[in-house]
Amino acid sequence: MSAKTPHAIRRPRRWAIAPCVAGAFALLAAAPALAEPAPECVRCHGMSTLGYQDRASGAVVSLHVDADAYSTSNHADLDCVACHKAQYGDYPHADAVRDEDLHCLDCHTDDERLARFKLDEVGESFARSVHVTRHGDAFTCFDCHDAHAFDIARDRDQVADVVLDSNAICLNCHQSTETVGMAALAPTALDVAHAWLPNASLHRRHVRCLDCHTPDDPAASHEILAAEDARRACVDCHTADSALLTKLYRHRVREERTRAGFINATVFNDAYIIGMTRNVALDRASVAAFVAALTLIAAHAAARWRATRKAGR
Amino acid sequence: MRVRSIRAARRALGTRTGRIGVAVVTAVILGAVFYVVGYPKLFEAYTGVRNGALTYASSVAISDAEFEAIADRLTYDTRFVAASRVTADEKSEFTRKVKTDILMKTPSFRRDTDLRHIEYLRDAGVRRYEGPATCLECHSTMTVHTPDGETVEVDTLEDVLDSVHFTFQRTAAGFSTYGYDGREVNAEGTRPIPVGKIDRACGIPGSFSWTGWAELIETKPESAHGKTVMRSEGCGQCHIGGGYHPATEKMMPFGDVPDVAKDGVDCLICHSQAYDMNYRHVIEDEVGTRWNQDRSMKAAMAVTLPDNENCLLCHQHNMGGDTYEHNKAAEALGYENPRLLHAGAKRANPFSPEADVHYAAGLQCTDCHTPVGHKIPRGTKGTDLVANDLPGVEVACENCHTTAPHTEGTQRVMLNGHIARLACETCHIKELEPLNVVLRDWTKPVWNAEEGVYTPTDILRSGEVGQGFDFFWFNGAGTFLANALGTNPVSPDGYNPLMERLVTLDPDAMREALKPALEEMTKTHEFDVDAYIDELTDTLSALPPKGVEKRVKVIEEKLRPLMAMGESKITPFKLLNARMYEHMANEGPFGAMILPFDYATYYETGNPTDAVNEAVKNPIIRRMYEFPFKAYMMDEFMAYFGVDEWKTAYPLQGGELVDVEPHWMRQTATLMVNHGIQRDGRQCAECHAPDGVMDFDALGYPPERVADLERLPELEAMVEQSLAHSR
Repeated sequence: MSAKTPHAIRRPRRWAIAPCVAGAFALLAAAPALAEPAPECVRCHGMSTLGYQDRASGAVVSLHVDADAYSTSNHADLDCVACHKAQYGDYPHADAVRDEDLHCLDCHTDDERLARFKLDEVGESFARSVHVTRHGDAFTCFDCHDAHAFDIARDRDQVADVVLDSNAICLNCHQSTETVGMAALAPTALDVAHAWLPNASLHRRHVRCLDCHTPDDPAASHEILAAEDARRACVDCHTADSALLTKLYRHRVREERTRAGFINATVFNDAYIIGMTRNVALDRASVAAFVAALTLIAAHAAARWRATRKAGR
Repeated sequence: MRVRSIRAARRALGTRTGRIGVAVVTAVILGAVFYVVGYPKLFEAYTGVRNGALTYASSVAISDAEFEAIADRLTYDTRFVAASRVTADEKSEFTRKVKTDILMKTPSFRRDTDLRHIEYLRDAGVRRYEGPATCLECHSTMTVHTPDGETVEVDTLEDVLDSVHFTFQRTAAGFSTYGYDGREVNAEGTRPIPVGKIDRACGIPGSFSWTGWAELIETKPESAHGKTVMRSEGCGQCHIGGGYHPATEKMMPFGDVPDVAKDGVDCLICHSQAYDMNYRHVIEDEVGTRWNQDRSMKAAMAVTLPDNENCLLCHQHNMGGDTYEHNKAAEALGYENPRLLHAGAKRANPFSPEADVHYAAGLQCTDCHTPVGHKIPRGTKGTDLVANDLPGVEVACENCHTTAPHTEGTQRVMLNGHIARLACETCHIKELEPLNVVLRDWTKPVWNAEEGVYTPTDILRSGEVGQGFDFFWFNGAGTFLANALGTNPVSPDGYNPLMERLVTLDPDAMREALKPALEEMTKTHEFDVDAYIDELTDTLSALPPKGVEKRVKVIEEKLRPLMAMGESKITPFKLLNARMYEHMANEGPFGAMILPFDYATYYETGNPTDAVNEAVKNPIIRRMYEFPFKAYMMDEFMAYFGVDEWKTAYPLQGGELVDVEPHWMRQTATLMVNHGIQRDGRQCAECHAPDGVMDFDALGYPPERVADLERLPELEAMVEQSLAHSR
């Protein structure tokens, strides 16, 4: 609630969410598909503070489903019981509900619509990620991705916003002092771990955690690397052939070129990469200066040409 | 050498620049002399306040032998209290005594509990406590850690003199209160004025504390069999300045309290573990009346950081109430002129081990109200226009508790869910003390035989939900006359307490509830009971039709946007209305300017208009009705009040009150209650039932939602389930 509270709200480990109320199961089973989460579920799960403090980890686990975010998410046309098939007739929901075992690939294997996201590659690289190698099956897709708000197509104008969104997912756990097992990465520890990195907060605003903590291979997008395996060489990025261009920025540059054309996208590229002027204002100023200089030269030449012609006469 | 400089000076005087320079220097010197010598005199003459040297009979020198005897006693008592606290759970009385004895002899325990100032004062040879002068010998400056993380050295005395505890007003932004003109009090775009306390349970709102600062009242209690007993009364009993008037100079655009008044600061009432409240009574000398204080060496030797008992010497008065059974200050009313206790409680939510789970858990006031030097935060929320030393500093449940504070039971998730809409207090304050004043009629005093004075009639006291307190949407802000601002987030238009809940009462229910009080009042006063009930249950009837129109307009245009600010939660508020004398020349759609009472006249004669008459004669009240005060603050004050300008027609003409009428305030005030927190909160069905304690309709929910909230299918399922489990 209050932004000041030191307790980060975490997604539950699994689809431990039990978004239905008394009698709603029967009711929903009979109801046609809805474009929003069922009102019966939202009555409780719409409460923004619905949740509990986990006894093992001490973290506050939110059971809130934001109906607005859901209705614009990729899953908006699914009703609650499409995924949550356990018994919800009881309140509080029975323990069986909490053990509900859901995975993205349960639904999305061989899904043609999602072919371009190569979910099998995602699954494989995820299995190699430090999250899985350290925490095993306890770590699921939903520890990072909120299926109730998941919106792959969400477009952000500014790279900085994409970075903010992406890093928020990581910081949700890695900045929390409450999360057991992550205690060594509590805020100060996170800073200590990145103490070697100059301008750490500037990096955090412009570069995704993933840019250093995943391998360069696009097929390994979900293979999160541990600190010791992550990228540490400054020159990897701060070079003409920046490693950043293998990831988000490559995508952005491509997008930008389609949208603005090659020349514009190159000139007005607002990505922050050493070696080029990536300040929009400076870019514009230098283009303006360049154009002004050309104009002046042209004017001067024209004037001289006219003067010469007059004199010749 | 000397001759040369004299010549140089003469030469300089000969020039034009030189002459101007001399004139400027002379003007500055004369100005400074006037400011230091003349202005205070002029100020005193203009306002009628007086200052003088402050002496206290309890400030006496003791011998070394007396020092040691007191030291032994204090040390023993302190150790005994601390040890007993540790051994309190021991079942066998004998074992408890033995363990207490052992503990009291244990070096580490002594080190932690002993009063360190005994040693300091012994070594420094201090044998007489002389107020701030003694404290400042060592504490002239102190290191303060600001909320911004800075560490600064401050002048201790100035830090105290600038605190609300001394000034009880503030001429800067930092109020959570908004005028009826829509402006935040003293914020950007206003002309800042000194405001600090508009407390309407009191007959004397804070701004009028001159008229009742330190009063001596002649009482005729039954127990004295016709003899007169002098009693003490007045605002000064709870304010640390020991002068003949509140810190009036601090309320002006410039000037400072004179040094003699600074000597009156009572350090020990907050800092001593052995402060004797019997010294707190009114004394009279050649300058006037003022409050005495404990300046004994014993109290000085028991100096520590303030603890709960220190704060509560004064603050239980406004929380539990003077006559709250666990109010320690009421056990020591004064060696002379004992203090009169106020029978009704302003908030009736005590902070005591008996009534509050946090106190019982050993928490200190300063754990939540964490001081910064001598500045103490109130929190960011409030309706009552009370000055705050540290406006930005949060004092809130969430400072300690998580967003999922319920950790036990099958309901915990659902209870946590409620936090989005309910303040913690909504469930965890289930009742207030029965002493809670809800309706106080100052205009019809009745004789109190026990105390031997006329007192205002509390026609309704109640600690019950719906009567003594009720639920309102609250976003942390309040109006100029203490009304919680907030709105129903799902149905903003359906919620308008300033035209509904706070201006009407059920006449039949009131007739029934007020029966005993009305019977008592009719013995002393002749009045039409029906008309009285009508006026009380429909407070807007006192407004002319144009006034009601303007009121509706102000609410829609100025207050609605404020109500919609931030995040509103359902929050309990203590209800209060008072019938007082108002000066109708300064009336607006939310009320008129209240006039103060002279305490002595009121208590002794029971004639409220004479008491108003007497109080209005006070020079400073008279000055309020003159141009300088109008320009300095009253116009701005009235703008917040919802009135276009301050009319300076003096209410006293030829010795008679003119244009003065008794009225209930146009709306009931809602005052925050945050103490008296109970461990076990309300159960679901206390609210979610057709006759539940929460009036969902009054909270602005649409009818279908009201029906739903009153009969939650989930709740029924839950009850069935728990029945099934128990079977």
